[in-house]
Amino acid sequence: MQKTRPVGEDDLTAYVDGEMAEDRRALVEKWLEDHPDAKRRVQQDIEIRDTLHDTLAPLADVPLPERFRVENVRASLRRENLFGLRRMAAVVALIAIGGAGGWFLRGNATAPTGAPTEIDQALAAYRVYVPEKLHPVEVSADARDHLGVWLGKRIGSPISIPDLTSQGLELVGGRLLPGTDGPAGQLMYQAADGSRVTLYLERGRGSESAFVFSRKGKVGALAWRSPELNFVLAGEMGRESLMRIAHVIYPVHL
Amino acid sequence: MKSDHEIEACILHLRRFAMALTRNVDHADDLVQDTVERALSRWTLRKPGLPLRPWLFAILRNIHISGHRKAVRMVTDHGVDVDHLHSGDAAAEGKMELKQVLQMLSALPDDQRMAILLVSVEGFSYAEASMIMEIPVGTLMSRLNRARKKLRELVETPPAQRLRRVK
Repeated sequence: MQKTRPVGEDDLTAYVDGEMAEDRRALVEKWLEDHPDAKRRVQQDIEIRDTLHDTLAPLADVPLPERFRVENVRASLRRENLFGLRRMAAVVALIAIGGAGGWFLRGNATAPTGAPTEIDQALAAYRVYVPEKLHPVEVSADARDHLGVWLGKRIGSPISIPDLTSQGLELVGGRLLPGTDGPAGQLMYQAADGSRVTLYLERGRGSESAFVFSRKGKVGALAWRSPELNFVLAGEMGRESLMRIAHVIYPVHL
Repeated sequence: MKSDHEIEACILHLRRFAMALTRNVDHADDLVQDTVERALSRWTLRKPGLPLRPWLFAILRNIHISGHRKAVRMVTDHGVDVDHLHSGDAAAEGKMELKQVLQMLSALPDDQRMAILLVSVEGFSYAEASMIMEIPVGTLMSRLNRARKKLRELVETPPAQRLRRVK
């Protein structure tokens, strides 16, 4: 028999939840026979698990409330969108009248004309750090978990670092940046050919938007907002390529 | 639409999870409403092949932790409105038990409560639960561990004694 890991805390947890391969399970069971204290504990955990399940599961045994018929939710959403569109139309009119080249997303029309938007900030950071050879990032991908927690804390909204390997992009790392209103973060990814893509993140203001594409020279920027975070994805590529990457990021940060 | 039925099949589970999480039925309903709205507005952005149920739970969790619910009702602690929560025709005994269980759960921090509900009540695998909570499986397991330790203590300590200890 090959050397087996001694039975530990994680085994007892996994045992209670039935998340265990058959052979390991047999081993743990045998071990429990020799450790009555642990066995008592596991039995108690199983009882608690069953109590939780048996008591709470019936909360779902009710008819579906009318308001949650998807049709009804969709209708209420349509009413809201209409309202949002009207607001957006008002903003567009405002820009047109002012003749300002201001860039606004739905719902946040209060930024003074000329104040930098998250796209400006993201592209400025892109221009500075993407060509950097020695220190492109502040925290490297080796400390990925730390990077996520730290940036989330500083930005003021939890983030999880998207895995873009399916798009041929490896995480280089990230850094803290000045944002439009407080700290922002920049994550940098690199393709095999050395080209780089950045994801700029700053704390959201409760509003949402669709994807907005813009371009400055060779660099394309795709921006969108969720209530928690504002995102700007930047790289030397077109709208379609950025969209493909954004679709990988999006489901992570729902 | 076909997807409507798929979503509706998950709604009561989402609502159950939200109730146990918030211990407030109005709060829970708002949370579910926001979740379904967000899911519908992002339906086309959903990653192909991503299973629906964990996706919806992940949305709900995100809305819950971000505190960005549209209809924010400030509920500090009204206690548990069990009569309102319960499905109605259940026996008084069941109500008592539900009340006790919810009170026990309220002694846990949010992340531990979420972990144990996802795994023990909603029946998600470790892989699914850790995806929903955006944490590694190891972290999920240590949350489950801590939650169970606390729950064992609560079960072992009769309420009267607990009260005295607090004083």
